[in-house]
Amino acid sequence: MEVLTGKERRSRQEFGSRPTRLSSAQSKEAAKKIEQISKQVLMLINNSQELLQKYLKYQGSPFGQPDLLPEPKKLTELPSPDLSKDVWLSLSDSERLRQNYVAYTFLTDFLSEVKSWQEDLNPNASDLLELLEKSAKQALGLRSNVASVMKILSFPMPLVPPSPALDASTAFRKKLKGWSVCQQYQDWLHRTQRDITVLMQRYPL
Amino acid sequence: MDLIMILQTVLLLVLESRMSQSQEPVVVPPLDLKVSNDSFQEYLFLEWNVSDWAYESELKMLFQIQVSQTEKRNIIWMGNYSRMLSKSDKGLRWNWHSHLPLQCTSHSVRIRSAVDDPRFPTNEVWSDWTSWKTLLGLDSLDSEEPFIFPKDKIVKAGSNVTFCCIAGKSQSVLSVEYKGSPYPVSYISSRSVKITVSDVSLSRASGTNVVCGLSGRKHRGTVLFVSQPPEKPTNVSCETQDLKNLICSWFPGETSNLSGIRSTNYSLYEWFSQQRMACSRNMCSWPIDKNRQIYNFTLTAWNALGERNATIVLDVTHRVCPRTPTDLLANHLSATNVILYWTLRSDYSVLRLCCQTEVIKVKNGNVTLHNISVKGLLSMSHYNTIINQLQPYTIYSLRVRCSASDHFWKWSNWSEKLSIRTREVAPTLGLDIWREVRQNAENRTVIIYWKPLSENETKGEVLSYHITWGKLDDSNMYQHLAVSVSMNNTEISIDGQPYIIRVTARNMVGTSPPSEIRIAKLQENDIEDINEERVNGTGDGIHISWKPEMGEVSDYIVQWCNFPKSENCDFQWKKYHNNTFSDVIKSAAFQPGVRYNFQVYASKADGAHLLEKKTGYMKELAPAIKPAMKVVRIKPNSLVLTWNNYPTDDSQPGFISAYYIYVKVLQDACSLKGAETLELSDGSVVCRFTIGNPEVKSYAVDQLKPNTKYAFSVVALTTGGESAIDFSTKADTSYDWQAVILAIVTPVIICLLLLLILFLACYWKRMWLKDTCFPEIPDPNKSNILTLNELKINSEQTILNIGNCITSTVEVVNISKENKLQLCKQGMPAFGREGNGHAIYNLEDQKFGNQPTWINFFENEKGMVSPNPNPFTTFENLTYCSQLESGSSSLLGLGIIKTNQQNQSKPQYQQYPYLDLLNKDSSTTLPNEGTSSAYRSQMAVPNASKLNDVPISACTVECLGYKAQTNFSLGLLSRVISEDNTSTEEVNISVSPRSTNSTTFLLPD
Repeated sequence: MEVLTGKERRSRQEFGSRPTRLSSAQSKEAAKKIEQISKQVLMLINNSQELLQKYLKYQGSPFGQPDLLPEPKKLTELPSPDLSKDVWLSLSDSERLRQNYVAYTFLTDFLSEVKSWQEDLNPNASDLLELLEKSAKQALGLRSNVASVMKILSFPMPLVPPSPALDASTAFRKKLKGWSVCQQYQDWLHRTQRDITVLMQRYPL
Repeated sequence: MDLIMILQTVLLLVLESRMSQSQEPVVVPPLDLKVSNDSFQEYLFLEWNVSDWAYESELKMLFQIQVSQTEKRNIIWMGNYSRMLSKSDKGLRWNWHSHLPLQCTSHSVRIRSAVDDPRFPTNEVWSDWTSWKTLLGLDSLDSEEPFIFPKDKIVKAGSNVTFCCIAGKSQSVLSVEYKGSPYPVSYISSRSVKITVSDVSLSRASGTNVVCGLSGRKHRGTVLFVSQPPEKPTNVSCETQDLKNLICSWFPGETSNLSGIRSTNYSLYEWFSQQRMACSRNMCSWPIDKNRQIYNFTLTAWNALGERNATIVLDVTHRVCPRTPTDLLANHLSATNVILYWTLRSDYSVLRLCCQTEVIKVKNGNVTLHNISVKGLLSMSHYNTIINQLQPYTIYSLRVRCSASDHFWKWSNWSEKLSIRTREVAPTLGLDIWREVRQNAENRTVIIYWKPLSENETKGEVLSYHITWGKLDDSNMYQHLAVSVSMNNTEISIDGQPYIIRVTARNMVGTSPPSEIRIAKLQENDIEDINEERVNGTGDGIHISWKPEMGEVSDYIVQWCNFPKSENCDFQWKKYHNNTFSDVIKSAAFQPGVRYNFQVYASKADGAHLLEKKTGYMKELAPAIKPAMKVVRIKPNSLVLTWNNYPTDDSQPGFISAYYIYVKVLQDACSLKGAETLELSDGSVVCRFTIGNPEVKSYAVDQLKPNTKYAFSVVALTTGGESAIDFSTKADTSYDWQAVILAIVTPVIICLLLLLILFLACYWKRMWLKDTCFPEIPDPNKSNILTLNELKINSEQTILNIGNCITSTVEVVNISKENKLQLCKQGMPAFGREGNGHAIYNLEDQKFGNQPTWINFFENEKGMVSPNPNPFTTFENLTYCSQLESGSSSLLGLGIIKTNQQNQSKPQYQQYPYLDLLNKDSSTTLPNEGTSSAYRSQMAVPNASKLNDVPISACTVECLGYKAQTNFSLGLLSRVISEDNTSTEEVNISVSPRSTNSTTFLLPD
């Protein structure tokens, strides 16, 4: 007996609940795709850790020194990866995937924006710039895989508004915002890992 | 208008006259003060005004300005500003630079004025201050939001920079850190603090972070960028390739530490057109105006900290570097000429161009340059030039570049290369041919050789060779043969008649001039008599010379094989003019150590004739093969070495000129007569014999030592060196028995001969010898001095008349050394024991009282009595000893002492303590010690006066007359002694002092 929260119920009403009639081929294909995403996320988590370290290294002191500078605030422009346990558990598959889809849509743009800032602030940090570009592409790839799962499961594709502009008028704010983007990219990957684990249980191979 | 002016002037004059009359100070207060700031919040801009009268009067005024901070208006700066007012420029402006960002706290300004005009000397009265005009700082806001300033400021390295941090309404500033390090803060107001960083250093591209820590774990940060003003661009240069755009380039200097919007920017400004264009860091493209040739550029490098300029003025027609020629095409190709076409993809019709063509002969890389001057053409028009003096059927590589002809600036880049091959012509040179004639029965086989033409000579691709031959006197019967181009010889058969042979090479266009050779009429044995001569190598070739041939010789030919030992010997020849008689033959195929054979021919009208044969090496090498040596005929003093199978022919890498024979004596240095002595590298000394004739292959080594081990080595010698020395051949000379026997027998024979001679001499002189060595001893029995019969008959006369008694006394003495010494010293006998416990017994006749003991006997350990052994038989007197040692007769031991002389010294007496035949009164004297061995007749009468001093042992015979010595034995003596002593021992020692057999007795050993 599944207990739904009010939000979950609304979500299901909005995007539709789990399709009840899935062919075995569809289920199998969805399971395969979900497993592929699982592996992909594992790889991206490693990359995001490297990205975060490298980013902080190039921003100068006190960045990268946790005692001197607290972690930046969460990006208000991005859906938060952190939900209360109850809310997260009550998410429908459709809503779960939708949030991932939206997050990686925004993160792709945000990572590109951070790269452009760093091209101005750290034009010689080619490794950081390559890693930012690579991460943006990986986020886009992950979004694409999430979208393909949604298609397989016949979930409606969300209409995502244009990514909001990151508010960073000064160099210091750009550094901080960039840090937030990298940090939240990593947080979202961990969130996706948990989401995919749930989906893998629902759509076993 | 003029009326107004007049009225104003009048009014002013009236006012001035009034003021001057009243002497009241004139005050022109500042009006309408306004304060604003710049976008960077660093400058306060002040604007105010004064009354129109002041402007109209064009007063010189002085303004005093005060700037205060915070709401408490702490005055932080005050200054004066002087200004001559102008009718045309109304309004007064002034600015003030604040080191502290204006947002950090409130800044207030007020101003007052004074007329500082010489027209009003009594003035200088300040007006009242204006009211404070304040720019509020953020610390006065009722906000929870903290701030930090300045933001993203760019400063010059070495500057001092002040930062402020403004806490929110209910916050407090905890720390301000620059580059991660906390700085001491000073309070500007209750909520605003500042730090000042002195002498800031260059920052990284992302700037230096400044972070303000606030209560409630809040932080605010900003970034400071520290850099330098831009460097002045150098080496500014502009040129055009297409006469449409000028490309200007320069050296920008070191890259700025900042990037992006903070990096250095470059712009180009043209003064005639007054246009500016943004540029990249080191180049700029400027469009050329068709109607203008002269350009005046100013290049500006600028950033937030300043700018630097560089200028350049140029005429674009002087700065033309044409575009790279393209579309090369060769046309109207012939054997020696070609027309080359190309295009330039720009319009150079206003110019005259100089184009350079590079012609590279691909085979050898020879480069030829051709310059042409052409009028510039429209874009994509074809330029062309004729290239002459090319070689037929040759590959060339062509390329072109161009420049402006009238005002050379730069060559364009070279075009891509165009490869062409000129056309063929018929070969212009005849083949170099030669022949080899082999005779078999009546027919002859002629092998015709030819050398392929070089590429220069073929003028094309040779397709085949054509041979035509026939009898010299029958031109109608010529035969023809075509040979493939891959061949360089062919074989034809002819009879014994003289022949003529012609060879030609043919290519696509035609044939070469025919080369002709004649074969002389067959002549038998025409080469038998020619001996082969040796020739010398030069290291890189072989020198050949020949004698001029009589008669008309067209040329000389030397032929040889490059590989004489190979089946395909690579037949070679070289032709010489008839006045050349020597040459150094060189060939890349020549190898050192290979013998080459040469034949020299003289070419005459009827054909070639062999002149001489030569053989030689380019360079001789040391023989690689060692002579295989055998040792034969080994004798005690000689042996023979042979190496008969050693070759001396062309298998050797040089002419064998001699042999060295090395002889080594094992474990000894060699020294043989007639040989050189050498020391080898191993330290051994060897002998060396030299054999100058290489055909002599044996050698007898003599004067060797018998029974000796030798090692031999034979090495062959060429001018290139000698073969390796190998002492593996060893031989032992035999034992020389004959010499040994001869060495033994010869001395024996000589000894025998000497003995024979001695014997014969003795026999011949036997009488003399007898008299000398064995004189006749008178027989006492035959003496008439003592007649026993008379004794027997007349007993009364048994007592010998002393006057007639001649005594012979023999004392045999063997005494110890001590006794002897004592005896020598005192003439007295001594008693004692000495050595090994042997008892010394002194036989002393009591009748003689204290007379010395004359015979000592020693008792050995067994209690046997024996004569004292040698160690105890010592003689102190050397004279006496020498007599003993000299092996003299036993008689020599008998001291016959002449004691008849009173002055005879005691030592002399002591020399002969053993046996004295003395007669003190005797006038008979012993000749001397040296003759003491001589026999003295017993008939001589001793000196009677000394007789008592002489020890006499045989007194039993005293005066009884002479006893035959052969019968006088110790036994008798012993008995005599035993009669007086209790000893009953009997010593059986024969004593015969006058006998040759008495030696033992006299000198007991």
